[in-house]
Amino acid sequence: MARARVAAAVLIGLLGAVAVAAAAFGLQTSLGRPPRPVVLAARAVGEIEQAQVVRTVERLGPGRTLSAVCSSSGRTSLVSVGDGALLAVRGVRVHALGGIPSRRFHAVVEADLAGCPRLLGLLLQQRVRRALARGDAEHLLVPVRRGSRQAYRIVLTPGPLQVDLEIDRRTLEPLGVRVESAGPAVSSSIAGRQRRES
Amino acid sequence: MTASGESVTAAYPAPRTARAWVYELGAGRRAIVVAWILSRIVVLASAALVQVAGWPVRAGWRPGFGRHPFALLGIWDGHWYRAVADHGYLLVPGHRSDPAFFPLLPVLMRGLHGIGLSLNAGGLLLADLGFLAGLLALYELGREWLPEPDARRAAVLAAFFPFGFVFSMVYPEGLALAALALAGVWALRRRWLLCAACAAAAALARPQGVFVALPIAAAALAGWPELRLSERARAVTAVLAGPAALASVYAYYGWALGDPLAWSKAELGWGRSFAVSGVARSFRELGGVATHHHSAWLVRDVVFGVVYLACLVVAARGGVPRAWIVAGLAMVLLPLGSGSFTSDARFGLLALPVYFGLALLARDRRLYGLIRFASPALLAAGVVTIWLKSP
Repeated sequence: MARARVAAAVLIGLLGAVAVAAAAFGLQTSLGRPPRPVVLAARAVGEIEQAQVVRTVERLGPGRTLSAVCSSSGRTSLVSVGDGALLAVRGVRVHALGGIPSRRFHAVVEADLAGCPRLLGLLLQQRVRRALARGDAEHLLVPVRRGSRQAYRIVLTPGPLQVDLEIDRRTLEPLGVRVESAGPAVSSSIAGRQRRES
Repeated sequence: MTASGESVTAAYPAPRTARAWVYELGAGRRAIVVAWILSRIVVLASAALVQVAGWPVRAGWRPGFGRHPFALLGIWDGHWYRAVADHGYLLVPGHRSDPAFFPLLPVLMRGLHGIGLSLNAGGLLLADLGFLAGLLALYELGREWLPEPDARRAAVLAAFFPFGFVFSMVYPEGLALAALALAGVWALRRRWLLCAACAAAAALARPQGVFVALPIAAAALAGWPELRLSERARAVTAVLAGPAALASVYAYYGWALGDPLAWSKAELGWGRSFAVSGVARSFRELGGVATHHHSAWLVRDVVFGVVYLACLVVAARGGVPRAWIVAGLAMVLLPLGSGSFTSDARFGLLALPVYFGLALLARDRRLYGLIRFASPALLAAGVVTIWLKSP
C-alpha cells in the first residue's frame, strides 16, 4: 500500500513536470521566429563551411575556363588557380602570394570564384545578419534553375562588385559563384568538395 | 453606512503610506533594500561616468548618455539577448549565434517592449529588480540556517559583491539569482508549486539554474515521511521542474530551428564545448597565462573561482546544507569542463552559499570592515573595465 502511494505520488509528480515543460515551451513560443529564408541561409553557412577542399571551374568568358582549388587549414585558406596564381585568404582579407597575371581581376574576386568555404561562409553570415537587421529577408533567396537543379541565388555583396552565391534548394550545398562588375560577368561552378573530418 | 448604521469603511485596511511600508519590511529587509540602492548607485554612476568621459576609448562606440543612458550596461551578451527578444533565435553553425543565450530574459524583455519600454531599458529594469528580489530571497533563505545577522550580512555583501555589476547589466543573472533563492525558500516552506515555478524560471534563465534541483530534492526527501500524497506529488514536480524546463529549451530549439542541439552547437561558435578533458584544458590554459592575450582577465576569473571555493568550504562548515554546497560547487566547477576559466567569475555569482560563506568569514569585524571598504571600489572598477573584457 505504501509503495503504491509512493508510485502514485511519483507518477502524478511526473505529470506535473510534463506540465511545467509544456508551460515553459509555451512561454518560449512568445519569442518571434526569424523568416524562413533567413533560417535556410543560416543553415547554408554550416553546409558551406563543412568543406575543407573545394574544386571549381571558373568561366572567364567564351571558351575561357580555368580550374581552381581552395584548401582550408585552420583560419587560413590557400587558393591555387590553374594559371599559376596563388592566394592566401584569412577572414575576408585576400593576399596575392604570386603568379597573378596583370590582365586578371582583383584577388578578392579570384578567391570568391574559387568557392573558398570560410570566405563564402563569412560573407553569407554577414548577409544573413544584414537581412535580419533590415527586415528584407523576403529577397534573400531568389529561386533560380542551375542546369537541371533547382537552386537559390543569394546576393552576398551588393554594389559595384556584386558577388552572387548559388546553393542547392534541397541540400543547401553551394553550386557556384557569379561576380558582376563593370566588366563582363564571370562565374564558377563547384566541381568537387572534400568535407572536413569531424 | 449600512442599514444598521455601521460604517463599511472599517472593513478595509487604511491605505498604507510609503513610510509604513518601509517600516513593515523589518530592519533586516530595510538594510538589504538600502544596500541594493547604494550598490546600484555605485554601478549606475560608474557606468554614467564611463559614457560621459568616453573612457576606455573604443572605436565606433561613443553613445551619448542623453540618448542612450547606461548603454554600457547593455553591451556584450546584452546585444545577443536583445537580438533574441527582437527576432527570436537563429543558429548560424560554426559562428557565434544566439541559441547560447537562454530564453527567460529575452521573453520578459519582449513583454516589456510590448508595453513601450525599449529592449535595453527593459533588460536593465528586469536585471536590477530581479537582483533586489534575489537579495531579499537570499536573506530569507539564509535565515533558515544561520542567525539573522549572518543572513543579513550575506545579502548586504552580495549587493556590494565586486563582480555584482553583472546583476545590473542586460544579463539574466539578476533574475536567475531571484529564481534560485526563491525556489530554495519555497522548498523549505513546502510551497511546492511556487518552488516548481521558480526552479523552472531559474533553468530558463541560466543553464546552471537546473542545479537547484539538488537542494529541492534534499528538502523533499527530508520532509517526505510527513508529506501527504498530494504534497509528495507536488514535491516531485518541484524537483523535476528545473530539468523539465531545460528539456523544454531543447524541444523549443528543435521546433523553432529544426535542431534540438542548437545550444551545444552555438556554444561551439563561442569556443566552448563540454568534454571530460575540458577541465584539463582549463588548467593547461592557466599554464600559458603569461602569454595569454587576456591574461589579466583570466587571472581575475581564476581568483574569483578560488574565492568562491573557499567561501563554499566556509559555508559548508557553517551549517549550510550539503545539497546547496554541491549545487554551488557544480555552478563554479562544471563550466571548467568547457575548457576555460573564462567567465567563471560570472558563473559563480549564482552559487548562493558563497554569500553565506562570505558572511560567516565577515563575522570577524576587521575583515568585514575591509570588505565593506574595498567592495564598492572594486564594484566601480568592475564597471569601468566592462568594455575591456566581457564579464
